[in-house]
Amino acid sequence: MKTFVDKEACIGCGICENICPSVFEMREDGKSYVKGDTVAAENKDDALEAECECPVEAISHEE
Amino acid sequence: MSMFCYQCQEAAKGTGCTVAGVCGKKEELANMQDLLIFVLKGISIYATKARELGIENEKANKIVFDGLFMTITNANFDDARFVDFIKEALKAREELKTAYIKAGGLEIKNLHDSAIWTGTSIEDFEAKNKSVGVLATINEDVRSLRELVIYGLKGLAAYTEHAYNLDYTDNSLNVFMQKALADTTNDNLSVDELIALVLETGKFGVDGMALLDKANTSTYGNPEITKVNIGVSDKPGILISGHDLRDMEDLLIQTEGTGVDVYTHGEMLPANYYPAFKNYTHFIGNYGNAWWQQKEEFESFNGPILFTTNCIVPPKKDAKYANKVFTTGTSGYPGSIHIAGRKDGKRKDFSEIIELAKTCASPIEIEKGEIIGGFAHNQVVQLADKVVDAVKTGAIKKFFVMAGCDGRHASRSYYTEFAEKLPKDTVILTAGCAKYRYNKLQLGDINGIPRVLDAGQCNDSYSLVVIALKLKEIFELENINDLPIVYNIAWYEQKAVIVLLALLYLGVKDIHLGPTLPAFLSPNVAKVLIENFGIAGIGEAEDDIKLFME
Repeated sequence: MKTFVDKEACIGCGICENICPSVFEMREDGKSYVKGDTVAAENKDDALEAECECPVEAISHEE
Repeated sequence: MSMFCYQCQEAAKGTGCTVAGVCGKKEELANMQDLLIFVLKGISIYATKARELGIENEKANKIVFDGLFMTITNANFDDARFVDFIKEALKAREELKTAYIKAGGLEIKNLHDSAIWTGTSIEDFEAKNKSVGVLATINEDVRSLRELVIYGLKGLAAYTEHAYNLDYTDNSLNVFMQKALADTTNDNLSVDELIALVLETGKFGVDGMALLDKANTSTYGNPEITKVNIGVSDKPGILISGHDLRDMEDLLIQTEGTGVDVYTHGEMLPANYYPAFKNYTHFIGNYGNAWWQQKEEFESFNGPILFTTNCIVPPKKDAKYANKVFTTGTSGYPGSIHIAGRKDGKRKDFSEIIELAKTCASPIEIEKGEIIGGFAHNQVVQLADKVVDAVKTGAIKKFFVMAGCDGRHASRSYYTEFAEKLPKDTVILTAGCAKYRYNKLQLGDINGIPRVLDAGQCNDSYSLVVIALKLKEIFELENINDLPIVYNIAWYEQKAVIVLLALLYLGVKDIHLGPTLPAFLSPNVAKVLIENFGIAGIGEAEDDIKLFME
């Protein structure tokens, strides 16, 4: 699975990093970034949870 | 920066939300909520002065506690409701001012702007609301103490409202909420005086929880040991979420015989423990977990959802359940149908929700089995001999109070790990939705006493206090801290704040608070809590267990 953050929509709240720190990382520009190329199988559930919880729906994914 | 809020545990970056709330509230809503709190302060200034002249205004009292409640995290996202409410609040403030002057009240010196400013339109409100929020207090420590008090008052307001819905009132709560709100506008209060106000808030927190306990148990009986079904039936259902038991009663009565079943969600789970609700065969049990998993669980439920209070999580744009959400009381969501309050003592009208439910499929089963709960003070005191015996023989070495709120942070898996790794001769005392991190683990029992004792909702932390004080009496201890009870509390919103302040007022020391400490504690205020009360954060589960068992 690949996951993406829409940088325009991202408000830098950090909830994705707090829900799934192995996939999402808040960087100095105040936006969320996806670590690595694909989401490891063991992180998939948490990454999808983070996508679900993003208050501005900035996260999407592709199988 | 277009807004600033740091009242919940998920505050962005652990410091505060400045662009939009992590909870989903947009800046416009956050600022309007700030304006409401501002106007409530103005009402409180006049109400407190008017009271000195013997004037009591019930309408204003209700506006204050309803208004505070509406601003609790995840309670109300409906901008229009806030605009209307601010208009009502301004009217009430002017009525109090008029009554005060009529009764001979003298001009108030250095009157705070919250008692002066007025407006009539959304534009007026928007022109004002960005300058009256949390950051209007420049001194970081004063700001921190003022906000700590205000968030405690929000929790107290919620409990006051639920008791009010059951026709139980204690006007000293209204008097205090207003005095305290007025005090947060007083620049002459010293830090020590503000700290005293924080503890006084805790005192009234105890009173508020006691009132609600009396209201709930006098009306619906004392909660008793209950096995709650977490599976589903084959009929369509209504899912009721939040805390209000009066709404629960109205819903059960109106759904009886309709072919629609009722399920509780989140903090409504403890409704299953009350004797009065056990006569309804169409009350199936509890569905799902704590509030933050609702986006998935409301989809699989298939039927309509009734929010009686927080926590509402804004549905995703393509959510199938979005048009099946109903709110009532102080809760609200734009586009959701809001069920009006009770008029002339009649029940609320839930017919629209029932008609919709009839057209829905039955819930998809997400789990099977039972949860055990109902260990509020009356039930536990009935088991006192057994419990005391187990403590005396060493069968129970320690109790862990793990009450509070659940939330989204992955770090909260700490609480599951902690519960799993606790030595087998310990018992967890819980209340509030924090329980969902461990209430479905099979942790066994000690001489027939389940190792997880759920007292009920967050306000039922009162039961845990009553139990602790009873044990202190039985063991003839001087100090509540001499009991073999450890407090490892999870928090998220403002009712947890009033529970914390209540415990501090009662003298409980060394409370561990997690998963993070509140953003609204300035370093100096945090230092005061740490040095005077032993407040601490959480570490690694195994290390903490070692520390606690010493």
